[in-house]
Amino acid sequence: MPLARISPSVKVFVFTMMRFVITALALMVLVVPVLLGVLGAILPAFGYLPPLGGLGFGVQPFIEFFNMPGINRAISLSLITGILATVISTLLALLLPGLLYGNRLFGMMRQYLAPMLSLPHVTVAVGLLFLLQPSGWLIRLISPWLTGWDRPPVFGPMGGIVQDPYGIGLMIGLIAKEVPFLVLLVLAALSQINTRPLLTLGRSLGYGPMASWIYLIVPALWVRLRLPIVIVLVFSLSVVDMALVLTPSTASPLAVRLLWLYQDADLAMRFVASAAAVVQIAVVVFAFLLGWILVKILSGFGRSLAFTGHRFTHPSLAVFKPVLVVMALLPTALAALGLVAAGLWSVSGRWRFPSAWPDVFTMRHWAGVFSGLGDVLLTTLYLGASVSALAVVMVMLWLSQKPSKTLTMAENSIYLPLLLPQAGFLFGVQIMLLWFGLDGTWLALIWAHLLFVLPYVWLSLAPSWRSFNPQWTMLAASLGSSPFNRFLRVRLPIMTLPVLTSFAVGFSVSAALYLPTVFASNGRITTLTVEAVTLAEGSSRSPLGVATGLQMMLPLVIFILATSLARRRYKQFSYFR
Amino acid sequence: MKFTLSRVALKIGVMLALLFSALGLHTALNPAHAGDEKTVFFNAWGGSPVINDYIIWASKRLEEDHGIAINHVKLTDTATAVSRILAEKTVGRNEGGSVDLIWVNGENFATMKDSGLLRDDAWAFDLPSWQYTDAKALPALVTDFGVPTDGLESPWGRAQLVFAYDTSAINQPPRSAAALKAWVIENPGRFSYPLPPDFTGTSFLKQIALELANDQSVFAQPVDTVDANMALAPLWDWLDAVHPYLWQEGRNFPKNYTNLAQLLGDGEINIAMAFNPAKFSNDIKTGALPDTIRTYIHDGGTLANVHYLAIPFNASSPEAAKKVADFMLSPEAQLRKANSDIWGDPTVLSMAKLSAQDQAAFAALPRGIATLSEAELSQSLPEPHPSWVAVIEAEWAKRYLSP
Repeated sequence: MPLARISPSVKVFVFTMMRFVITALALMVLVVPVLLGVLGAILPAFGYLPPLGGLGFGVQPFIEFFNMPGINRAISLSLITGILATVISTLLALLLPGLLYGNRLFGMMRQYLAPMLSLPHVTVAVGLLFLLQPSGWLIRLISPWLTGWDRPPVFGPMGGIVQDPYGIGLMIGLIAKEVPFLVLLVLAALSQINTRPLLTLGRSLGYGPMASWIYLIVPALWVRLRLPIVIVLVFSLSVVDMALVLTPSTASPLAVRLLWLYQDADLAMRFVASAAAVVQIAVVVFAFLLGWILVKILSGFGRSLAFTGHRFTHPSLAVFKPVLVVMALLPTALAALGLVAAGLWSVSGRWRFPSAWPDVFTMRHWAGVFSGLGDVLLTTLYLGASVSALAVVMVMLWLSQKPSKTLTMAENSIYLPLLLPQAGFLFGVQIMLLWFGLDGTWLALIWAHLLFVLPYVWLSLAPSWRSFNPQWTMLAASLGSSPFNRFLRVRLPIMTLPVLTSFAVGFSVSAALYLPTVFASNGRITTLTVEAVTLAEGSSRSPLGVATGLQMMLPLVIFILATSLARRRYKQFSYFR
Repeated sequence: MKFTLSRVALKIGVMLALLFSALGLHTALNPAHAGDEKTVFFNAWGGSPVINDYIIWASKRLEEDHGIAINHVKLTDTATAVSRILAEKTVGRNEGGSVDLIWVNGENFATMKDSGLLRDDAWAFDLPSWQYTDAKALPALVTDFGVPTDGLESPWGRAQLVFAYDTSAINQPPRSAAALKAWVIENPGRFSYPLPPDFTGTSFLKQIALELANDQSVFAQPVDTVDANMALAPLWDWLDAVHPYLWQEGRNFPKNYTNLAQLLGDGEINIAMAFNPAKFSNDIKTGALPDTIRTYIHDGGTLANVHYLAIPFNASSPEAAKKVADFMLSPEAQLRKANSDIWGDPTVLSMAKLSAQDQAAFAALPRGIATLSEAELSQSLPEPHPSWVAVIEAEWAKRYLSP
């Protein structure tokens, strides 16, 4: 029966029901299992896991965990790298746009940082590895003519510049990824506040541009950036894939030790691993409280500076500007250079140290893609596209409901998977999947990806969806258009750009997921990121270069396709926004 | 006109979105082709590109002959797959398991056999290709690190620990544990070994322990029946002396022998090792290593063993897995595997039992520029009892992994 013949009231009813079901389903599928996953970590941590014969309750797993050699070091390494990387990234992201505001560089920032955002974390880590190891490209470029080295140097305690025991390489990697993320959010926020008039106001009161920025803009930005910053903090404290690549074998952070415990052949270690997962959650909570206190102190300090009318005009502060710009851009630039090195390795047939360029070029490794990585590539593409499409459809349906209090609460709860350390609940989730016999199925994998893709699609789509001018749909309604037609013919076309952009964002999030893929697929389904980590952990550079190249291109191609497609449509409908 | 075009584009867009969502849901509800006897989930260490390529070739050949595809689940440590199968047994999943075929030997086999994780109908002796082997001549085909295989696993290849050095940096390589120690101390930062529990790393520890032992026969006994502390004390003394002079001062270790060879090629280190006599010839051939690399073994001999394929008790596609194991043991597959231009893993087949044509083909195989002759490799050490591995690995982790 054609759609037009169904009576309007039935259609409205169906549409409402559909939205209701989607909302309920979304919560059931997204929030409940995550909480159960946390429970699935907490119970075994206290000794309760019937399938493995754990029936009692006690703190034995915790005792065993804290007695493990080097565990305190692992915890402090996690805390130090996680907190420092977040604090530095946040400061840079808040101040850099202020330094560059009105400058030519400001306009370029968005253009150059957006592609960085679509890169998986592990790709950036691999890039840094290619560039900064003792036999890496950086040293090849300056050897032997500058350094006199005709063989890779021995660096002593630092090891390389990456894979150092102090987590410096890991922090560089995290900052290289998080600064672009936060800066782009700052740019979006700047368009929502009256930036220029506020800065003019500051200037008219006799404050310099930087002082005006700090007193007037930063507080407004802060309110809008709190949630993403917490997400960055949680991620940095619990990152696994980057840490596997950028820390040395004898100094791994907590999240990596946790992974090892879960992969131990001795099943009794699962109890200890669960204790570790609970400690990981505690570490995140501790860091959050620490950050909260730090922010209180800083804002109090800022306020007192403001009251005394401090103007940041001390001459030494002039030095500060270039230092800040360099600090913000250096990690990203290093990562970009490292990716060039990865690209070179992927086409090198032979590349002896200290040659700056490959001695022999070959396409052999790329030819291997079609036999070896073809399936992996398709899986990644297919998984990313279907998860992202599902997420976009869900978010659109969700957003087309009338706002209500319950709905707002439900909305906030979709951030849950980003606010908990992945390792903290994924292991519990895996135990549940195993219990239900769902591990290693596409259902489990798509669901696990949806957990992480949905919040990002939401972050990217919701603001523009909500800023839609309702007059256009009202106008359509007054012309007798049905709700379904209003959605399909009026709202969707006008929203093409944000919808396709959020699809691309969702895709790049899915393509980057490591731990969720490993645990939901139980090793049976491999994506490019999983393959890249396996290769980075132990293979020759050329295949790793190829995998990194593919990882780099896939989200970028989707991103460029989506936005260029959208831009063509945007021209037609830009008037309506 | 323009408007019509954009409407078409819009419709296509919406349809695509719906299609992808539907496809996603459809796949979600249809688990990965498990248990159809058409796909074999082969869990095998995935750290070597040449081995991975060989498995791809095998998959193509099996697809042609039997319509069976191999899904290579690339492991960084085989113990993780063992632990997964154990977890499946523990939660009572007796069929539809996630692993169909697994590449094992030594302690992983012993663990799986003891825990009842293997298909136990002696299937390996019934494979058609078994006729080409001669277990009387090569007892290691039926005893894995001293543990009888009982047909629970099918032999796949032979391996021996070999060392490699760069002739442009070293004249005479150190041919014993004692000489190696002296060399490492003289050349700080230029030696390393793979991070245990990587099998090459653990094998290196066993090699040193055996070389330093007053009585090597202690290691043939189960570890809990002898004084393990006393037997291993020389190993820890040796490592304590050597570690400060290792690559990156022993704070960082390459993850496996592929990484190690990469470091050798870059010149970061000058001595490497592998559990495959042809590995370095192969790398010279592909250009990954300079042609100044040569291999050697220690004067007292080096560890040698056989590696196998086993089927877990709850495999989803056990019949297809048997076909894969049989193909891997066939003269065709073994010949290709033994070719040092492809992989260079020595065959487990007995030449006397092959056709004249196959014998000639094996005889004609290229040996590779840096591969030792069979005679030079004849000095070998027997593997310690599998129970030593866990003890050595745990003690190593305690001493060096988390200083």
